Amino acid sequence: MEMRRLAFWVVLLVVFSACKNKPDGTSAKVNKTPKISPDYSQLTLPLNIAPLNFKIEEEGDAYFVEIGNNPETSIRIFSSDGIIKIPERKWTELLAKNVNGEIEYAVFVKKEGSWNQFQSFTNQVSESKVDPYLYYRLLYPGYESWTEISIKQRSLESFKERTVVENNAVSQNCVNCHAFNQQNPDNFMFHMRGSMGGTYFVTDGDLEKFNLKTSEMENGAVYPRWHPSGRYVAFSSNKVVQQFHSMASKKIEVSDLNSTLILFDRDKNEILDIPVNKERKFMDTYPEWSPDGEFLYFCRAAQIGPGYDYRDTRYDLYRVHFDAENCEFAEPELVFDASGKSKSVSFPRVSPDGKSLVFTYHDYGCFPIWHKEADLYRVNLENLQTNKLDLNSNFTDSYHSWSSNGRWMIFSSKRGDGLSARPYISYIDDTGKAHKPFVLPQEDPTFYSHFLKTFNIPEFAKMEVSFTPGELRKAAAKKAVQPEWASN
Amino acid sequence: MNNKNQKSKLFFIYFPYLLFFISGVFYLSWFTSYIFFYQEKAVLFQTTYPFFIEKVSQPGGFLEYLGEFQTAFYYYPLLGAVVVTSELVAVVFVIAAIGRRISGNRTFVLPFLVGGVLFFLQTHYQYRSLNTIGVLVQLFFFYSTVKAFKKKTEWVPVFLFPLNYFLFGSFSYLFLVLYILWQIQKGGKYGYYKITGMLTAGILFFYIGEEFLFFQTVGHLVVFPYETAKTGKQVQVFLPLIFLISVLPLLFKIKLKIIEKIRSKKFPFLQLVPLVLILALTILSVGRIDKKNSHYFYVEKLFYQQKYDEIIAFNSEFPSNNILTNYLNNIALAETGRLDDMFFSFPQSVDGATLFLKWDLVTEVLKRGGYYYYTLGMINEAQRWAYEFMVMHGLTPEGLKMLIKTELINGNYKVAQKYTSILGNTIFYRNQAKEFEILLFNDEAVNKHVELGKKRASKVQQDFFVLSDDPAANLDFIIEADSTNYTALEYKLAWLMLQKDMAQVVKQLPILERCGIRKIPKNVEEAVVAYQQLKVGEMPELERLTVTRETVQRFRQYYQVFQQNSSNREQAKRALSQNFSDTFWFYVFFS
Repeated sequence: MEMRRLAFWVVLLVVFSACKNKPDGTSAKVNKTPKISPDYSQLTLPLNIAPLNFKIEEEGDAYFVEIGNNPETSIRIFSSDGIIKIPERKWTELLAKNVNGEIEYAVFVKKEGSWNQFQSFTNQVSESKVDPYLYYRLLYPGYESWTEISIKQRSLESFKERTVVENNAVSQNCVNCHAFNQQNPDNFMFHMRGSMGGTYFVTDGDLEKFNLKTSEMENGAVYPRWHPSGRYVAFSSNKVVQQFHSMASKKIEVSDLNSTLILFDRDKNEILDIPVNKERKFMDTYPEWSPDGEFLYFCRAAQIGPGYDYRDTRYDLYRVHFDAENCEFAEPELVFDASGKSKSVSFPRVSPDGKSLVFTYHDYGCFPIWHKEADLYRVNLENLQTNKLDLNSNFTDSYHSWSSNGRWMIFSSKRGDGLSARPYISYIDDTGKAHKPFVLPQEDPTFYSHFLKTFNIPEFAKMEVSFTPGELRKAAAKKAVQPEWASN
Repeated sequence: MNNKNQKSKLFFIYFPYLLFFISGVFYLSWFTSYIFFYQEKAVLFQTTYPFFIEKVSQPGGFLEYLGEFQTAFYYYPLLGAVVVTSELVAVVFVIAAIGRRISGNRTFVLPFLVGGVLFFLQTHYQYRSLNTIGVLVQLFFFYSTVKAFKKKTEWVPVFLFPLNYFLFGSFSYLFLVLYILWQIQKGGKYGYYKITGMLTAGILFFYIGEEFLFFQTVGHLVVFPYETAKTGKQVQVFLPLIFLISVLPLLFKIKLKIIEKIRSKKFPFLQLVPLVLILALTILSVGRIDKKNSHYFYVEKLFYQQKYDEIIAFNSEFPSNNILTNYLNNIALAETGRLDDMFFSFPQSVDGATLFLKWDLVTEVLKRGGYYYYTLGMINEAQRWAYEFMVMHGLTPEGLKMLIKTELINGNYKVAQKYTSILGNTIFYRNQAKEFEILLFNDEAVNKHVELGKKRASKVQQDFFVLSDDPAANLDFIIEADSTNYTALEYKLAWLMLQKDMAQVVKQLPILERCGIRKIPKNVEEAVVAYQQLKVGEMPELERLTVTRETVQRFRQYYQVFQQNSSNREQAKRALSQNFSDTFWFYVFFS
C-alpha cells in the first residue's frame, strides 16, 4: 500500500515537472523557422491589434514560446499541445514598448525528452493604429438558401464579437450588404430581403427602414456607397442570376443581366438615375466615391444580349465628376481598360487620401468571390499606373476596404481552404506597397480549421454601431419609408 | 408474515414500473426501431465547446442540446429504447412521488396515464426526445421544490425561474403552472407573493432578453424549443397532456369517494390500474406501428450502408408503392447496372419522381435528391444538394459524409479536412472520420478507394450549368460530353420509357452500343421489340446489339392475350399481370 502511494506521488511529480519545465540554454538548434498556424511570421502589425494566438504545427511533447526582445519584458508561454494563447494585457504592453521596432518569437519544441529551438521569426510593430472595429457578414458560403445570417462587430483590439444584426430576429429574412460612410458608424446601412425587406439606415442611433425601389425602377437598389457628405448614397441596381457549374472548381456563377446606377438623396428622400447610361448600352455597377466626393467611380461592361456567353462579360473602371451642390454629373471617363486585357474589374475602393484605388481583377464577370484567379490591384490615381499588390494568393482575394488612416487594408481571401473567405489585414506603406497580410486573429488559433461560415464584406469602423434586437424588430415591423423617383 | 406482506406490497408497487419498462423497451426496439434510425440521422451531435455554446445561446437551447445528446445514442436502437423507456418510467415515478407528497397517498392512475400517453406520443417517428426530457426535468424540478425547498430556501425556485426559462425555454412554463397551482392549493402565508415574484422575475427576464440580448422573434422566444413538427404534429395529444400534467397538484387533491372506498379495502385494486393501463396501451400501440415508414427507413438504412443488392432483394420480396423507397431502389439498380433490366419490376412514378427528385429547399427532398447526381457522377451537384440541406436543416451524419466524400472526390482536401474534423467530434462517427482522414491529401488513396475512386473516375467531364428544375435534361449534357457514362444512359432510357417514347429509346441504341454494352437491357429490349413489331418506325443500324427471339415471342404472346381481352381493360390487366407486370409493355398499356 505504501509502495503504491509512493508510486503515485512519483508519477505526479514527474507529470508536474514535465508540465512546468522549460528549455535551458542547451537546446539543440533547428535550422528552420517553425511551422505555425495561422502564419503570423514576418508581419507588420498595427499597434492596437489583439494577440496573434497561433498553433505550432511541429511534432512535439511540449512547446515553449518567448515573445519579445528583452528578457525582462518578454512574454513566455508554455503549451502541451502547441496552442499558444498570448495574454491580452501583456501583449498590449509588449506592442506599446516596441512601436516602430520589431518583436521576436523564439519557439522551442520538446521532442523525445530534449528541447529544440527553431529559428526565430519577427513582426514589425507599426505606430499606425488600425480602426478598432471590424464589421462583417457571417453566412454559409452556400448557393441560394440561408437560415442564419448575421452582421457582426468584432473588436480588433480584443476578441470580443457582438451581433449587430441577426436575421433570426426578423423571421430569417436575408440580411445583405452593409456599408458605412467612411468608417463612421453614425452613417450605417444594410439591406434586408424577405417579408420585412427594405434598406435600413442608422442615423444618430435611430434605425429606419426604406423601400428603395420605386415603380420606375426595373430592379431594386443593391451595392451601396455613401457620399462623404452623408446626404447621398449611390447604388447599383442589378438584375442578378446565378447558375451552378456541373464540374468547374468555382461551382457557382453569379452574373448581372442588366445594371444601372442610381442615387438616393436622403435629404429630399428621392431616388434618381445617375445619367451616365441613358441609352442603356452598358451595365454599370459597384459605385465608389472619391474621399472628396467629387468623383464617382464605377465598373462598366457592354450590355449583354440574348445568347450571351458569361465568360465574355468584362468590366472596365470608369469615373464621372459629381457636383454635389447641384447634384449634377459630368460625362464618364475611362480610368482602367480591363476588357482590353481580357480581364474584368470589380469593387473599386479609393484610399482615404484619394491617391490610389484598389480593385479586384479577375477573368470575367462581376462576382469575383467565386473566382479563384481574383486578385487585388492598385491604381495610382495620380498617374493611373497599375500594379498587382503583394498580398495576393493562389486563391480568391477579393472584397477589400481601407482603414480610416489609409494604412491598413482588409480583404476577403479564400487562401485557407478555397471555400470559406477569411478577413486578412495588410499594412500599406507610404509607397502604396502592401505588406504580408495576416488573418484576423482569434482567441482559439484553430478556429478557422473548423468554422464553416464565411466572412463577407469586411469593413473597418471607428466606433461601435449600437442598436438592440428590440429596436431592430420594431424598425422591421414598421412600414418602409417610400422615396419618390426624381426625373433628372 | 409481516415481512411477506411487505414484500408482496412492494412487488405490487414496483411491478407495474418493471412491466412498463420491459414492455416499452421490447416494443420500441422490436417494432419501431426505425424511429431511432430516423431521429439519429436527423441531427449531428458534436462534443465540442463551440457546439454547446451555439446551442445555449438562446432560451431553451440547453434543452435542445440535451435532446440532441440523447438522440446521438439512438445510433444503437436498443440503447435508444432503453433510454427513452427509462425516461418514461422516470416520469411516472416522479409524478407518483409528487402525488404522494401532495395527497399523502400512493397514486397510480395519473402517473401511469401520463406515462402511457407519453409512450403513445413517442411511437411517432418524428416525436423528438427533447419533449420527454423537458417534461421530466420540469416535473423533477417541481418535485424538488415540493420536497426540498422549505422555510429559508422556499424562495429559491422563485429566483431560479429565469434560469429555468433560459435553459429549458417554453417547457419551464410547465413548472410555472405547477408551482402556481400548488401555491394556490397549499394556501401558505407568502404563496401569492411567491407567485407574483416568480411571474415578475420571468417577465422581467423575458423582456430584457427579448429587448437586449436575443436576436430571435418574440414568438420564437415564447415557444422555443417546442415545435409542432418535433412532436410529430401530435399537438392534439401533446398539449392536452401538458395541460393534464400542469394541473396535477389540483387533481391529486381531489378525493373521490369511490377511490377512497377502494383504497380502504385491503385488496390492491388501485395497484392493478397500471396493469390495465399498460394492457390498453399495448393494444393501442399495435396500431401505431408505421409499416410504410418502417419499410422505407429499412431501405434507407441499407442505402446508407450501400447494400444495393439487399435493397433490391428486399423490395422484390416486399414491394412498396412509396416514391422515396423506389427512388432509392432505382439508385441501387443504377449502381449495380440493372436499372433498365429491372426498372418495371418495381412501381414507377409516371412523372419521374421515382427516378429523380425535384429541387425543393423546404422539405427533406434536399436530403435525398443529391444521391441521384452522385450516382451519375455530377459531384458538384450532389455536393450542392448536401450543402443546401446543411444550411437549411443543420448538419446530419449522412449529409456531412456526403460533403466529405464529394470534397475528397474533387480533391478539395482542406475543406474535406474541415468536415472530417467535425465528424471526428461526434460520439459514434469517430472511426468513420478516421477512415476519411487517411484519404486526405492522398490522390492515390482516393483513386484506389472502392467508392470514391469509382466516382472520381466517372465524374462528368464537361462543364455545363445544371438544370435543377429539370433533372432529366442534365442527362443529355452528360451523355453529350461522355457517351460512355452508362449510368447516365441508363437513367435517360428509363426516363424515356417512363414517357413511353419508344422512338427515342430506339434512337439511343447506337449510343448504347458505343458504350460497350453487349446485350440490350431487358426493359429497353421490350421497348425496342414493341417498336419493331408494331412498326412504329425505322430501326437504326447496329453492329452488335440485337433483340432476342425469346423477347419477340414474349411480346407476341403478350399482344395476343391483350387482343383477346381488348374489350375489357381490367380483364386484360388481370390476364397479363401474372407474367408481364415487370415489362415495358405492361407499363405502356396499364399505367
